[in-house]
Amino acid sequence: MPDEVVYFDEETNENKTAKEIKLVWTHNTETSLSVHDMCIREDHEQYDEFVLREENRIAKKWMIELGYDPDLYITKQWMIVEKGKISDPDEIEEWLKPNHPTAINPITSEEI
Amino acid sequence: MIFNVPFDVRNIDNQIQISISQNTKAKQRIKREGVNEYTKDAEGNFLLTPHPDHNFLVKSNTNYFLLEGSLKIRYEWDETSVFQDEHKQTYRDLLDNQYVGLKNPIGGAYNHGNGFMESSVDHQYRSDTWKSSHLAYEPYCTTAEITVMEDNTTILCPMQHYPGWTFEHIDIMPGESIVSTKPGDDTYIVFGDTCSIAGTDIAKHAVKKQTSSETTIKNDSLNVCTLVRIYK
Repeated sequence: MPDEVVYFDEETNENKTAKEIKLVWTHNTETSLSVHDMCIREDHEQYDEFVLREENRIAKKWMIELGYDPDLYITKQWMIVEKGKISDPDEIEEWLKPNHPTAINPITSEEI
Repeated sequence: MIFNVPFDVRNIDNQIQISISQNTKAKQRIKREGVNEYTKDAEGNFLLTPHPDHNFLVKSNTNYFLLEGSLKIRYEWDETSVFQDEHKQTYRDLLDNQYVGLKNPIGGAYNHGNGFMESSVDHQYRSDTWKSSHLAYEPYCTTAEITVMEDNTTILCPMQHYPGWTFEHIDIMPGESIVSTKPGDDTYIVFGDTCSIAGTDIAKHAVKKQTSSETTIKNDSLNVCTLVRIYK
């Protein structure tokens, strides 16, 4: 049976009890990577936010443990990608050319 | 493509796009990840000009000038590349010959191996005459990359809307002056640091259009100041 925790419900101004959930993260294939866990009560209002934040932290930690430089790489949805990586062909095309004059107003330079 | 260097981008008279990096951090970089990622003009045309003697070297619309700090430049090639291992020394020799007489020639910590070459370069006093970009010709290879080596490194990246522009630079010691003639019908000067012309202050990173046939520019900063002249 999971433990129960007491928390204060601000809507009803009452102390209530809820089940405590323990989440454990272990890597599927890389067994050398660190194991992480986190406890949170069931139906916590910020459950998804807290779990996502913890997962982002773990992903970054695993990335570093795998030898990736955090100045050069980031994680996105458990994938390791290079910082500043542009993959969309249309976006790349925009980067390769000067901006269209309508995108950046022309400056008339002073004469010397 | 990898691009995470922050730039201040200006459209100068609808003729030239001047991009100057700002608040850079070490390890930020720009990487061309394939030959299809060479820069283009406003119409989307590649601006590749092969070297007259060596087809494995090209000029492109990429004209980086280092105004402050330091960079690492790295080229890589695979079996599909025109540039190959046997061309490395030719390229090095070309750089050496092109910049004979410079005070501190490019090519600091040079490192190379099968399929790659890289070198770091820092901003120093190099040229007391107007010279083309150190990277005017580069290996026609698979990938190219510049990495910022120290915080607040400043890179100038001018891009031409339409081809035909010439890019040059010159260095001025603190308190010293140089003369710029007007080599083109349209001539612009980008100031790498604080300068003055006949007592009038010119702000760091200003872009001015030279209309007089000759102008004397004094470096009023405490640093080596690089000027970049762009004309057509």
